[in-house]
Amino acid sequence: MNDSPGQERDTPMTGTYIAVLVVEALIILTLWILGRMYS
Amino acid sequence: MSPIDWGVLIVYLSWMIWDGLRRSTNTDKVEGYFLASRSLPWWAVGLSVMATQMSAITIVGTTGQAYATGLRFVQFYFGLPIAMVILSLTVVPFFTRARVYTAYEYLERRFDVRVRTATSFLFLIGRAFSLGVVLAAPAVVISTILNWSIPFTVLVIAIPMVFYTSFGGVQAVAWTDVKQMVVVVFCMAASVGVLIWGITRDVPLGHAISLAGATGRLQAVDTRFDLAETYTLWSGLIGGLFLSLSYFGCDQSQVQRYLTAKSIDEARHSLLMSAFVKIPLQLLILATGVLVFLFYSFQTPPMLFNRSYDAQVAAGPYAAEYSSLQREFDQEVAARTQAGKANDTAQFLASDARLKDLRAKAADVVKKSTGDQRYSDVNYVFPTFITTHLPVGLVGLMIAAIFAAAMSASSGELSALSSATIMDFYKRHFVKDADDAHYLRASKISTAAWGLFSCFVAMFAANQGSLIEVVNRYGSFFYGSILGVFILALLTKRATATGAFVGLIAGMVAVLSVAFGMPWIAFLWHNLIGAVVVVIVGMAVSSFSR
Repeated sequence: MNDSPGQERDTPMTGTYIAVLVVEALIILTLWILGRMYS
Repeated sequence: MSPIDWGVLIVYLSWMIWDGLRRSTNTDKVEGYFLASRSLPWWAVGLSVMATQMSAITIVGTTGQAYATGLRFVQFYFGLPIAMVILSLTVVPFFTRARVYTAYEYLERRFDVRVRTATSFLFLIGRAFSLGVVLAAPAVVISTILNWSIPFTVLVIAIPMVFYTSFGGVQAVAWTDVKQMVVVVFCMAASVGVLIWGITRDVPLGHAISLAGATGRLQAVDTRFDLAETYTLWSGLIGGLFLSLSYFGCDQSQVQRYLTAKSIDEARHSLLMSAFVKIPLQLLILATGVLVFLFYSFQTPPMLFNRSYDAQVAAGPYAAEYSSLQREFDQEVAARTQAGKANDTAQFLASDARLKDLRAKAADVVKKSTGDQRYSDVNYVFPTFITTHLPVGLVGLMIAAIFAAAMSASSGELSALSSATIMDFYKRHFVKDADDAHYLRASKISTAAWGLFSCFVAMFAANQGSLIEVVNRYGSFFYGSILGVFILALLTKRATATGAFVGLIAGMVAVLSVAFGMPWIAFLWHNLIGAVVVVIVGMAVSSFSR
């Protein structure tokens, strides 16, 4: 196959990366609170 | 299983093979066979990435673990989303632009053929044996459920998987993975529905969750910093980060998945899909295990879920002791159920502790009676629930989901083994100038040969629990060291080929020394140790060898 501009498409995804980290932090915090609530 | 369940299982397996082959196009060229001509959409790649990680043991073993200890295993995955972000920024554009077939091919361009061959060889050795274990572990459980022999069960899993992988290449793997992930998630969600329905017939859900919390099963996050504790927030975030970086960034079974994506953006999206979904998915599986515990708090569970030795124990010298334990167990189960319904938490916990003790004594009796010192029933908890409490039809689909998970985890590894064999060894060292059709034939033969090899390993490993432990430990021996080589390749300009090669060996020696000299250090930390030693030694040697 030949290279095409589509295959090289490389756009910044800073917002998505931040969203990943925020969602993970929220999950860990929620699990920690859940554990504390029911301990 | 009922005839309807058998029908569901047979139809599902047949459909998977037929549809996997039907969707495979452009497999008349090596690039199509190994990389789907770099044409797959991000969501298919993302589901395939997750399916390759989710083996049948993830379903039956993780639920069994949550039944016994709760949600704490989820911490193992805390480093994964961070790793996905780092890999999206680093290796994904590197590998995609380099247009490589294997991750190790890039190392020859950056260093030399020694480094490529050494890392690819480590991958082949580790993956070849782990593929056998990935087949063996579910085969042991399924053979007990369906009363099949282990060799027959291995073949029922392996033959369809080797068939569609050999003929359809990575596209057949990816599209069957997509279907398998959908079936697995649907079945787990349906099981959760049945479990909640079953529990709420006896007590309100909030009341049941309080009981689970009182037993400590909802303690998912352990903030202690303890190197000897396998699953803590810190081992998950730090050790798990290095494990995920190594697994998704340097292991051909994962790299090959995102090399099939249409573009750099699509490859990134496929990894970020795992970053968002993996922890919630793992929580779903673990929560299922906790719900199974609550379900059996109000229904009578078997004393031991692995019943494969029942007849042998009943006919043996410890039969009377076992019967006595069974009577005590039945009385205590009734006491726990009553306490649970009355919301008497103190009595519930006291009964639960006694039941745990009785189960441990019963397992000891089985070990004494049979001589099987590795006897455990962790992997049999969820299958027992499936076969005794799920409705007709869903049982067949759930067993199909366990088969599906076993096949999807192994097919991706099989395709990766073949691509590394052909590209890093056969084409690079032995037959350098043949035409594409020759390499395609060799690739199909290689895939089938690795499939055959994995069947032999699986049949051997099924009866060798210690071998399974050795193989699992072996993975953590080399993952961190290979990651260290890629860090040298991607993040430093000063590192030389000799530095990377010596660093790799030093990293392996360091991890082996820690594993055997300080066995109390949890294995997740081995990945960090290996990577750090490779980078330090690699940079030091590079400064002398320039």
